[in-house]
Amino acid sequence: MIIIHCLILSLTAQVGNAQGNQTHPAAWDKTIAQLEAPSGAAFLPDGRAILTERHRHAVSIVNANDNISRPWIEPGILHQPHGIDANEVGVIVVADSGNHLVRFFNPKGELVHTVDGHELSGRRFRTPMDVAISNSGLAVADTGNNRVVVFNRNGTFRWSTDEIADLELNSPEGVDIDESGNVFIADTGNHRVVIIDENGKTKRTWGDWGRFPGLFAEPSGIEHRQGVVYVADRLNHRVQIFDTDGELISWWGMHAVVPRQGEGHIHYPSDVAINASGDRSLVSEPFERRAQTFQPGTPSRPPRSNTRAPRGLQSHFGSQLESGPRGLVTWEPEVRSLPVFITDREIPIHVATFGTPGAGPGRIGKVADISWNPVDDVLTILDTQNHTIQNWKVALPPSEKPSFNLDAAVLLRSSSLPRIEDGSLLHPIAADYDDEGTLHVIDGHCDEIYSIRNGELIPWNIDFDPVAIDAGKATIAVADGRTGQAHLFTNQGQLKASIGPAPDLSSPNPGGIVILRDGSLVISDSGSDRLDHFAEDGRHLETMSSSGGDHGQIWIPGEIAEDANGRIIVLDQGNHRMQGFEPNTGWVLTFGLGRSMTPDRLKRSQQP
Amino acid sequence: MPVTVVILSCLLAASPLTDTQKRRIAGLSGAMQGTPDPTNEAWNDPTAALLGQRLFFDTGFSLNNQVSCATCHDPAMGFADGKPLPTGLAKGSRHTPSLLNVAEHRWFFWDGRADTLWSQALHPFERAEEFGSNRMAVLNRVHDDPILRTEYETVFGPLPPLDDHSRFPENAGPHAPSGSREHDAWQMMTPADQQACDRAFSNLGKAIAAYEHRLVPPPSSFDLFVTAMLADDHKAMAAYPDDARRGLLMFIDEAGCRQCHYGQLLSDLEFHNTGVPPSHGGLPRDAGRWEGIKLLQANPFRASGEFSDDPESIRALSTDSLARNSELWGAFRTPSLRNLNQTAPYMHQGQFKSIREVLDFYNTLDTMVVLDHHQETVLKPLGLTETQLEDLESFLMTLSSPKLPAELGRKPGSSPGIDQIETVD
Amino acid sequence: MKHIVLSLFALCCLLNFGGCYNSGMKTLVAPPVARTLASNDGQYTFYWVPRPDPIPLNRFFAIDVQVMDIAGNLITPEQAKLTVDAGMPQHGHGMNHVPRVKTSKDGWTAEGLLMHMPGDWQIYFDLEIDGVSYRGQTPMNID
Repeated sequence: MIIIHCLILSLTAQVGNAQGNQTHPAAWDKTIAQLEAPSGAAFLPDGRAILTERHRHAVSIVNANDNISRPWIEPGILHQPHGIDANEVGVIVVADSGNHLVRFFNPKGELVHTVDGHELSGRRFRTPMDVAISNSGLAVADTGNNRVVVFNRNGTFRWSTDEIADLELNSPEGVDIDESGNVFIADTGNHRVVIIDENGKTKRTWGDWGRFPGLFAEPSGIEHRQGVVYVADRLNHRVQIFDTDGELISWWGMHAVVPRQGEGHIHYPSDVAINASGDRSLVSEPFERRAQTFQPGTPSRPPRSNTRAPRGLQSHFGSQLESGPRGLVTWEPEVRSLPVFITDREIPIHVATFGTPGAGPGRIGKVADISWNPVDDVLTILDTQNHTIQNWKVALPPSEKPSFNLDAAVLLRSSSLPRIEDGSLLHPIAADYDDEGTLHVIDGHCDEIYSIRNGELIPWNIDFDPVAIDAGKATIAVADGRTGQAHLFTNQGQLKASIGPAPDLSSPNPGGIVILRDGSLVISDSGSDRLDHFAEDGRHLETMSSSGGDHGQIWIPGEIAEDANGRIIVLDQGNHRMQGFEPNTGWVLTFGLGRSMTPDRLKRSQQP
Repeated sequence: MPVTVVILSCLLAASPLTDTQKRRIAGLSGAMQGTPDPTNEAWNDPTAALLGQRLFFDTGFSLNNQVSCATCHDPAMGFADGKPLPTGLAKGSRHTPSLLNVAEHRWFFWDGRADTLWSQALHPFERAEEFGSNRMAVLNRVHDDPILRTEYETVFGPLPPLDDHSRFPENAGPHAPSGSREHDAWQMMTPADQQACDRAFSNLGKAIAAYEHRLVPPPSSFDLFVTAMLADDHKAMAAYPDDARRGLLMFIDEAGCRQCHYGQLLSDLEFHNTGVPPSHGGLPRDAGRWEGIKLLQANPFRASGEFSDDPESIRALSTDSLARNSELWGAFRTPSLRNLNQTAPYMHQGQFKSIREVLDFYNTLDTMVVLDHHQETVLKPLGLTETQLEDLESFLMTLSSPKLPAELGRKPGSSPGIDQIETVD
Repeated sequence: MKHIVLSLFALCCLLNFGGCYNSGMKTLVAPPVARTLASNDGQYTFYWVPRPDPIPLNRFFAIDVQVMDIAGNLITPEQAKLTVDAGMPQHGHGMNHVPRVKTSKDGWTAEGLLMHMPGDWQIYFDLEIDGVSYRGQTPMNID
């Protein structure tokens, strides 16, 4: 307690320091690298750190000497685990997001209990992203149901946020519960923190979308230690520290503007954990495949950083990418806007950016996917934060005379996302139009595909885990998140064939899929940074890339598209850029909002 | 600077003004006589103004009897204080803005947490770092002072029966620290008595505002140039310095200053975050307008509140319809560019000692606070030459007016209700 | 329908459209007093009149709006909801105030719009019918 108190005092003291001479309230300690999308972070009672690895579908322990002990919870039980917590006797709880379950493990790592939410709360969990356990009970961030559910120690239901008047959570991804039963929520989609007391009454809310200290951009992890609230502020690349009244105490982290930059630089933090004595913190960064430890209470100079990024790294693209007849659209989650490129030329050119953050007509919340309707040339945006489906028309300039135009895209229509059978809103994670103008949408919470015809939702009734979709002329290809296969369907949803995965792919995590004009198929794998090309008959033709940051290398690839020139464009999310590949040739193009590069240009630039 | 640029600049200054230039220039000038304030029926009442002037210079309202409005709004310094940050009972956190032409503003304080001049004037009385007093102590002082009381009751009618100490404590106020005697005493008062005192308190603000409405200096040399321009009086126009004229043309056009600095005050009266580095270094911690809107809309003395004389006025509707977007975080009110010769230092923390430092900031944006590489900004470095910067500064200096009549800048005499002009020494 | 519009026009010609923040919609609007604007998908036509006209810099103004569908039928506030907003795309911000929209039998009046900076604005009209929102927009340079 004394140590905790000292910590609070020292953090508070940092406010003064920060005003006079900016320091961070937590010194960088170590980087734990080579993790596979570490998402959730916690400490065991003996002080060891524990992490979920989403892409390995496993849990690993970091020993005192910072060696990773893996696998601690074997792959095979969990699917895309996210949040994790441990109580004082070492019982581990895991938000098994991909299976929509909460799992309990004993201190040896053996599964002892599984709950799906239905029996206890009357409703199945949907993509639960975080869990917290204390002597007062268990809290589950039931993200897909936009609620946090709290249970007593004996497992009986206590309350759920959807019973609280005037509190509407939006995809909460982080939760913590203290010994008194107060629950701390990272209300991710509303960019705020919510504290609810033990009786289920709202005590305090604070925050809004923004970049300045005290504001949030998708807060995703939260931890409370003795009157101090730590928030992993994902899209602001920092950890913010508040008192329980919402007063900002300080923050740490320095935005890593160059991918792989570390040693105190933070990039898309997913979760933050503080050990029992309050002197060690663990920040998980799935985007960088690493976690970093910090020493809260030990002030340090922040890592040196050029606040203006090098040219060519001016954007953090999301994983979304859509190609139309002449153009290409992607999504920048940190500024809530969509850049447009024309691609019917050697070097794609950025010709427009549209979208304004916020709620209300024409505003953009969080883009789940973008799809270009080939029938009427209209761009459809699926927004899972505002729960809207928006149709935009984009006027592209002629390729011989390209110019930038902020007014190039206009909103035609917007409506609420449709509701699925159980009454909940469709939750798209990927979508694509087929050649007849029917939109096929993957619902991430139900693991189902729906076709939208004449405003009606038609489920496909599939029995796999769809994560990416591309609708070609007569074939719809869907990537299976568990097997890495591509399942090929007719436009009516009948299975025609299954292709892949690549023979040497051990732990598939498909990020995107595209059917090329010649009928062959490319799948990106965001876990192993690959582009695998398959013939129409299912033969694996080649792996077109490797992991890294050079031209032709990729890092956490997202969606793929074929551009107007027949190039395979991949959203190289981890390198903040897009790259073009051609079968049998390999890399042919790198571009983004800044500099572009082709093999010829690269060759010339390397000549003395 | 290349010779050709000098020649071009000279030609530019001498060439006839286009219609667009004339319109834009005319928009920077105009008569300022204190815009009527419908939320304050006493805004143009001479007795109210006299009372307000007494209150303004009276140090007896502060906890240590040494601080008055004039402590920070010193008439000799353009009704500012010449310091980066003010000192009342303690050091403040934002620079003191000038009160010259203050009635022309739409919002008050750097964060606009007051929407009327009278509401603004109430804040210092109860703020710990300014006067450190409490509401009842303030009212009791007016009640117990025969001159103040006479003038008050002449304008606003009788004060509440403050002699009845069983109902009206000597020291009490809603902003006293929680748990303090003053705070508890205020809580013990009946809602009706609290309301009566709030009404009287608001009237003191209205009196101070009536005085501040008069702080309108005579026309500047720029205003005289505009008058001549509108009258097509080329001879009079020629009296305007060439360098200032060149600076003016840059101001309304290529330098882009007019984006935010237009209208008679050369201010859009609204709020912007221009990335001026905080004086404490590091990232800014002051949320500015973001918090200002919250404070304003919770303030019972706002234009749409029960103490407003016109809660349906445009001011009131304007406050009630404010959009609180997070882009307003760290945004501060666009300052007027008039009388800059009297009001250094500049910016919300007095970060820049001189106009030249301000111009240098906008010219390079080298020290601009950019949170990260995603921050989009309207501001681009001006990239002006040394001569162009000098021209801009020359223009800005022509926005300075002759000083106010001396009688507006000092404490009035001791007789109640008599025009102060006759009573000052 | 054409002569309904013409009669609106006749009415409009008789009206004083000079306005202030707080005045309600006086009557119906129609061309040529009103400006016309097709929704971005061409399904609806917005007839709108700013008050005062031209729109002033940094002063409140109102907009009277009527809407017709592609078949020439008048859309009434009973059938649809209208919101009006404005923004500066180049600056990435909107107005500092949220306009209020009042309804009359045949149209809407948006009050409390204020364009606080000179430059290029866009005015947005969003018409919501049966759960679908249709947008019309027009550029507006304020100097």
